[in-house]
Amino acid sequence: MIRTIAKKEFLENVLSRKFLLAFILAVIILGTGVFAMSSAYKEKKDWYDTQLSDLEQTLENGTSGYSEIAQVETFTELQKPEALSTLISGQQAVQTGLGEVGTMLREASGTAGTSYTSPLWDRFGMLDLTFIVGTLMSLMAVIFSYNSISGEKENGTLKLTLTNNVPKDHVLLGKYIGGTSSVLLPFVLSMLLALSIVALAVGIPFSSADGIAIGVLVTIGCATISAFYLLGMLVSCLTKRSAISLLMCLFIWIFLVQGVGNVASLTATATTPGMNYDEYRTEYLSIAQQAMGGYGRENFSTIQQQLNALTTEFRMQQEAQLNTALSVSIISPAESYRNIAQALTGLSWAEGEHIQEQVSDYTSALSNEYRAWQAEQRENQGGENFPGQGGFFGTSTGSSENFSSTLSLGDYYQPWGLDERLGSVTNDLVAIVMFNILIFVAAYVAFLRYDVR
Amino acid sequence: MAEPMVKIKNLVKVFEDGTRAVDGANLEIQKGETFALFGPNGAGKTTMVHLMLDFIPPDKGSIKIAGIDALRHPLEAKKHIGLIAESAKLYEIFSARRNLRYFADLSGKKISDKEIDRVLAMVGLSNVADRAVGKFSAGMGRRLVVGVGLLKRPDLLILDEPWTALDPEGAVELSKLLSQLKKKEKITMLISTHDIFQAHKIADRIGIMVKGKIRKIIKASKVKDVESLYLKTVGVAK
Repeated sequence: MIRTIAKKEFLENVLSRKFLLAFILAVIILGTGVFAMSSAYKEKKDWYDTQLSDLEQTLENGTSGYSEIAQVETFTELQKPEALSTLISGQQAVQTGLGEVGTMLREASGTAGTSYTSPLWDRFGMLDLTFIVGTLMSLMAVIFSYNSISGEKENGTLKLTLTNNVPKDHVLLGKYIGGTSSVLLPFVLSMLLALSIVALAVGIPFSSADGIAIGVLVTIGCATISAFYLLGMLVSCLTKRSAISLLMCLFIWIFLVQGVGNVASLTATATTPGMNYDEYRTEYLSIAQQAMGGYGRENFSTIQQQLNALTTEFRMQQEAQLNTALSVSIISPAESYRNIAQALTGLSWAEGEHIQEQVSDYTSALSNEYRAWQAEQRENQGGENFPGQGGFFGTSTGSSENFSSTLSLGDYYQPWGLDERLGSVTNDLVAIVMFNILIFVAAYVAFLRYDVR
Repeated sequence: MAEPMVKIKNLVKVFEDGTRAVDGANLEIQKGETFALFGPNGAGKTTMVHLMLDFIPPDKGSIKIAGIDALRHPLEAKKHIGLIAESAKLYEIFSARRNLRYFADLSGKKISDKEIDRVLAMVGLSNVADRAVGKFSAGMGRRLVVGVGLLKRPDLLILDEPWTALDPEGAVELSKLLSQLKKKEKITMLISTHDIFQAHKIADRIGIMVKGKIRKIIKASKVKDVESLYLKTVGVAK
């Protein structure tokens, strides 16, 4: 029975015009989005290669400070373009991060005086996988399911169906399976098409790890779309008329897709007030300028401690706000999917923090090595002249020798694997699964009580 | 005496707003009999049909269909029932044949393609069997709904306002079809309708329902002026 109903539901949807529309839209939006992001990827790759070459040239020309070495190392590892950025847009957390690593990266970018990001993408954004799942397909799912029950009631086919030896739960399950499959079909097909464009036409190589991440992203995307389909079914079970069901579905969809993010942000800022980014930057630069302006070596560690304390305070406040916002946003499967997609592509705040710690460890070790080298230089030169005296970030003037390090960022820096990335978004994964289960149960209860007359 | 096809005893349904839609209704329909249930709007005809089909639960009373307690075992009872629902439209995107196939598969009985062809012929839709139902006229659509009701060769065919939304030609056509079914298939039929004239032509017995109660049950052959009987019973004429 379930199979019969599922097959009917699937065919009825697939043969309809709305399916054709969904398929065309998904193909066009994902296709053009991926094509645009592939171009951005190539643009970034070119920029990265040029910048890297410039930075390496700087090193070859000789440096007596450790910050230039750190800049090159962090730039090489952290700015490397990711193939997955052709599907998910966003800035790596560390790029927007603050503190030492952020400063070094900004300085590294400033060295060449350019940026890889196009103002077009900043202004208009990119239609990536999170848009396809969280906006387009979620809307399609709701449009496919809003009349799944109320529409059949209006046509009288629900009565005809239930006059047979068919339990109501079989009807609901069959409609869910068939209906969801019909919405997932254009999504999966357009994904395959987009991946083919990226891999074959544009020639961007995906690693096996990327392949697994894409598989997980598509699977969770299907669960997200299913959640919205169930939502439409639930509303359909609660209303007698399709028109009312459609209106209710659209209101709920707008709230979940567009409203929850704002509600989450407002809740976070209301519950965890503190300094904003501009205030933090002003304070940070003020302390740094004091250091540049002629403080003696004896004050260096005090200033460094002040900067670290300020940064730590700001980051903790930001983290608290972010955690609050994320906790609120899990009520929306679309937001949860965005969080998961960002995490799986290494763009999450949590991974940024992880990288920050590792890079800090590296720069500390590099700094210690540099100080040891300075001391050795002083000894060799009889204490008359030592490099690094006037530079806050360890850039030196007046050295006769260049500093070279035996340390490599690769010894400290390990990006997260898939399991760690998934682990960081467990709440969102559970939220999507629970959303599916709870809404199905609610739809089931509503359908049992549904007045089929 | 043989078990009646339908046995309803003291059936009561009170809606949330306090309306006693069915108020102690009693009814027996024998196998092979065609019973027409008349009544004004709000008399409780359709509610009684819905109670028989387990669409809503009763507050009191019992319903037996083909000897099965329909309130305790609704799915079992439904195996014996075919429904021709009021104003039902089938899936417009599918052909008549595919629609029948779908409901045949839902019936739980093994219904062959040959049987579907037989039903299509019976309702006069063989020549348009593969045409999308969305392109059917109202009359053709109605005939197809009758086909759905007949598909599983039910012991009891319930017709809820079968002549609604049909033009006079379509109404006569449907009446002919139902008369044929009565003669050839010997199906028990319960017709709930406002159309007293069409139903009177087919029915063996007539029941008139007023305010949730079946006020009068009479053999159709004994009724010469069905309109007068109806108006008197519902209290419009003396």
